[in-house]
Amino acid sequence: MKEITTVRIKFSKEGRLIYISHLDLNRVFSRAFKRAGLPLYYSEGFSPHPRFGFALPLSLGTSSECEFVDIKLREMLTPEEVAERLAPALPPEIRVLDAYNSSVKFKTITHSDYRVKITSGNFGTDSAEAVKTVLTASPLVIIKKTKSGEKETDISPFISNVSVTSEDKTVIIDCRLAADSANYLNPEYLVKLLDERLSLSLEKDETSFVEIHRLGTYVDDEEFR
Amino acid sequence: MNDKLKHILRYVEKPGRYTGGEFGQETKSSEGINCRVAFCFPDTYEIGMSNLGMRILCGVLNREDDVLCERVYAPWTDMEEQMRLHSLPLFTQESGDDVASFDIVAFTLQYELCYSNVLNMLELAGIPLLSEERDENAPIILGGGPCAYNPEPVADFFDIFSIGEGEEALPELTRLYVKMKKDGSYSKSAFLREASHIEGFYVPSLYTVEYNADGTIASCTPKYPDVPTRVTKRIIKDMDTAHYPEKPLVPYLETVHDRIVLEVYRGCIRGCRFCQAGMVYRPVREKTPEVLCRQAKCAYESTGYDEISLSSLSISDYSELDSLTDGLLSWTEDEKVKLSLPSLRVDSFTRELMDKISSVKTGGLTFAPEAGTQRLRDVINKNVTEEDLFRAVGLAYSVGKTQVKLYFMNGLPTETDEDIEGIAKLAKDVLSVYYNTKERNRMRAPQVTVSVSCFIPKPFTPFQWEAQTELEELERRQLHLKENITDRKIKYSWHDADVSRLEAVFARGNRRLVPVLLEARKRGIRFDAWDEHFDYEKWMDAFSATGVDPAFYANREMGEDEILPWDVIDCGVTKEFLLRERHRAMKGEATPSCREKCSGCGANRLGGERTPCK
Ligand code: SF4
Repeated sequence: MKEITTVRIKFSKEGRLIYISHLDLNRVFSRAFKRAGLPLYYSEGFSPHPRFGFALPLSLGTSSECEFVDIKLREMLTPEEVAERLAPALPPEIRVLDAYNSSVKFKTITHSDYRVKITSGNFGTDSAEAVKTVLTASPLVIIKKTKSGEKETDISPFISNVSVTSEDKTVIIDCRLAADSANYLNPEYLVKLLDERLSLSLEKDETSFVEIHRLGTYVDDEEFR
Repeated sequence: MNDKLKHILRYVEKPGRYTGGEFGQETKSSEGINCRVAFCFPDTYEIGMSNLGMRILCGVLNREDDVLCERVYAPWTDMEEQMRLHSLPLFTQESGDDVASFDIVAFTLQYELCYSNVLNMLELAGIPLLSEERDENAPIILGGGPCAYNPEPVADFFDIFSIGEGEEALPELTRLYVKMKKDGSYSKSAFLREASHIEGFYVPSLYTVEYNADGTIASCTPKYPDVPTRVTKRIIKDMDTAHYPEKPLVPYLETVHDRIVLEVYRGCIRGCRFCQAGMVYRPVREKTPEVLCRQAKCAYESTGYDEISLSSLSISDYSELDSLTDGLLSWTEDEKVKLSLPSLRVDSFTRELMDKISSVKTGGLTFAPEAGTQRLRDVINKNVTEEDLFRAVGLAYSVGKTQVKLYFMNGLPTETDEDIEGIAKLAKDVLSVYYNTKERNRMRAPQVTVSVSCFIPKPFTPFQWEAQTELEELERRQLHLKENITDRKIKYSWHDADVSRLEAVFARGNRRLVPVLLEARKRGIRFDAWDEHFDYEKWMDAFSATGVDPAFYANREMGEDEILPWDVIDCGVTKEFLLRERHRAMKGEATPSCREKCSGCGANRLGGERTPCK
């Protein structure tokens, strides 16, 4: 069997589906491909696997409007045909936004834009200002989990384009975070940082609320496609 | 999803367990609904979602126009902590509504160790635990599943039990509920009284149990003449027409059995004397291969699963296995869908089967000789010989397999040290078969895994009267086996005997265990089926605090003319048959399978299509 074509699907993930992990998402897609009857390309060998891969992991609880999956097919289908078959086979919380052929590799991705909404009864009056001060400090040292254990890391170089607005008890943060494999910054770190520095007690305060949404994915300043 | 839940989900390990909305979930409009059922599985989401029975029953209830059935699983401990902290009561998967707001709350009782979870879930739902403490506004609490064959240890918590297969019985119950609500005749007691007239329903509060001075039962009698003295289990006579979820929900989280499960037949033609399932699911009723193939195809197209598991108690006893596997293989290979089987009987293990079934082709092999000597295998009626076993593993070794797993039981009636040593010897002999197989795979070291559980006397088996071996003695035997296994290529694993002892207590328990369960709830006991939560000491404290002796239930040989707690239930198989089998066991006499010769167990009274019964 030969791989004939690769189709890139851009999709969103929202609603209840934000609560499933990256591994779960793999299964969601592999079953959707089968339901859609797509002629998948399978790896050779003892237990053949369909070949497809995602651009970036998305952490549990985060929604997104810019996820990407590349699907290898063993028959020639246009991206439009793939999208048409796949869309109804996916859960309603995953929507196909675009389908095309692309040669731009996933590993060229450098940044992601996020919108982080935090609602907390423990915000002071100048909440937007306070949040901005924390996030734009340099150096900004946190304890980051890495493959080799926990490590003190200055994350200030990985954060840019920070803008903060506030409304009542809700603070909305727009920011761009490093997303290349070496310096991937999970936006949860920002929430944790703010929780600690501004004494928000997010877990205890049951009126508190956190929403994280991935808005866009970039190769330097250009939108990834 | 409400805000409280959204808040909480950020702080639990696997939030996807609690959100519902799995692929294929249909939302039923709440309009025209006259009866809402919350169907609870008293263990985790991953285990509950793997249970075919619950899916079938939710399906048949939702098929009723005016019934809505939603699912509930036991929240894991981190979720429970958050729910208690934020006073979020137990809710259903689909709508997130409070369980307490439903008309009927059903629990499927799959194993005795889930009882503590049932009580915890009732508590989390804010529903009073005892039937007599629940007023007209509380839901009707319904129990069913394999443990309902002896419902007595949990009798006071439930309003009603469904005995046997529920596909036809449950809709009859909801229809009665709707009718009585509509015509104004409904009250909890009137409904339960009326429901006790439907075949297969047992209302424990309508029976008086009296005890002898020695703690055995003196009598169990209906309080009113219209209430049946014994409740006969229900069965589905024609499995081909039984409901099968052809468009099953597909979970997003990985579940224990994350695949299409095809129920090939119900019942078992064998008569292993320790096995409750083999007795209570009689008689055998097969589905036809045509129906199975259609259902499998349909389920595949709607789910996209890459595995179909053929499930039944002893799959190789299916009379049309060849045409079923051929029918499935005609399309599964192209679609890259694997076929898998649970463990096989050694006498049915063939080259052909190995070629057909992926799980047999690629996986390790599992066989269950159950006992270490032919003498003991005859006692338990496991009609498997050493020759069969050696032939099967020889075949497996000759095609390159190296890993074999063998299941045994400790503490079987009449077991001696010789039988235990027999287990070690059998494992060693299996290993020698490897070395004597010319075509063996020399690239990988062979391994024989010996996995040993403890015998638990279960209701409705020929061994229902037997005492479970004392805990210390069971542990000594486990150790004795360990000392006899000297080869490092033989791996030995065993079940904790104290867990099995607790199972034995509740398996053969009566209503006097109710206070123990209440005490256990007070002491925070739950998730007993999980090693990390099972606490034997805590349980023993609950027994002594309530003055109940666990040995009375687990370690006492019950008298043949004693009234047993489950005598009020008729599961098809008669007591005379069980006694006959018990006596044959003690003489070491095997009994042929239903296909060779009917032994007159009594289950044929219930009827059934495509069954070996006359
Ligand atoms: S009646 Fe006979 S054939 Fe039928 S289940 Fe009982 S023993 Fe088997």
